[in-house]
Amino acid sequence: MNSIPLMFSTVTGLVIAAVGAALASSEIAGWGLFTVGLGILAVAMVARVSAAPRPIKLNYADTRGGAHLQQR
Amino acid sequence: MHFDVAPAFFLLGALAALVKADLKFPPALYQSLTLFLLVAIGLKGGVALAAHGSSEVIWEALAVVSLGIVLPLLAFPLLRKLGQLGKDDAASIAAHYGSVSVGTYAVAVAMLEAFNISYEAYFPLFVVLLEMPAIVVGLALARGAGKDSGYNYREVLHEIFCNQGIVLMSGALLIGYLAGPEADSVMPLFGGMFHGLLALFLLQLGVVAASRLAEIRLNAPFVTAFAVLMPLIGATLGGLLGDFIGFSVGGVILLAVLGGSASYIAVPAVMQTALPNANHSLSIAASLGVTFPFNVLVGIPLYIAVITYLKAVT
Repeated sequence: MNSIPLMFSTVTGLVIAAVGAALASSEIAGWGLFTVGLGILAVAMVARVSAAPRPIKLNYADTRGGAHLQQR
Repeated sequence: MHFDVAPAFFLLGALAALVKADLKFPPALYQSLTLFLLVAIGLKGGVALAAHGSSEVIWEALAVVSLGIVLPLLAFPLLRKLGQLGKDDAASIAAHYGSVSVGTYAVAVAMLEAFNISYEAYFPLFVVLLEMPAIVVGLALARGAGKDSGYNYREVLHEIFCNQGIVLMSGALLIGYLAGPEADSVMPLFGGMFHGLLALFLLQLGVVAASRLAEIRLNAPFVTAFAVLMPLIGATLGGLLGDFIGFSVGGVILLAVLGGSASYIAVPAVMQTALPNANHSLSIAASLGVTFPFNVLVGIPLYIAVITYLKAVT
């Protein structure tokens, strides 16, 4: 996923969690908004991790095929 | 301890869908419950308008309509720039978030009554008025006003003004207004059974909302964040406008709820006709799969808590 939407969701999650924590700790509202903010943050983090580049793995069949060609 | 029955039924429906329980409402029953809510809300509002309405309501209505114009104008650049969505998708979603949800309004009314918070009973008039401007703004954003947009205007206008929500709510509002106290004869059905049928409606919506969540998988981080942030922006603007107009605490809360809600009945029907290339499952999944549950479970209690607190300290 593109980085701008991911950045938006991360910042939104952080801000909502912070506002929720402030409202709940001053006993104006419950912890619902804080929980929702954490939820948004978690969704953004999962997307970030799954979008990160992964090292290419060579499988056994590829290696054996290359070795076979080299021997010839 | 206060226990909210309406959100509990919504959660039950969502849970039933998540555990794949065989909970199926006949489509005709769901449709009937929607029609019932539209008529009940419109009728109660019409009766209240006949009893308490004055020329001030016209100015209040004009101010409220401006909210429906501003909200899609705020949502559109967010969706385009930060969500990087296409023009049609962004315009369609912006129209959903500028319009209102009758279901969310009904839950808010039920909660206000449970908390014994009074409100301007003619609010259904504003619900009807807020359905339309966002659709027009959304269509203008998609194609650009004044240009050759390629719309079938006749079909689009028909969908805007003749969809079931507008026809039933404005019709019932007019009947209630003309009948006044004589509407008491039908109130045992539309007033007395309101909360019970709302619970059934929310049970079904819980099932639908949970099944819609899967549709945002590709854009999940952005859509989830937008579908929570936009209601908070809308509710803040609605609350500020309600306070500026001079509504009671309940009225300010209801306008915050309307500003924070997103349509899932009227707007999808119009957008499917006017913007056939937009991703409609994305907009309905955001409004019904994220924003509606957020408002019912967290948003409305939050708006009530914050607004009553602010009204008490100022």
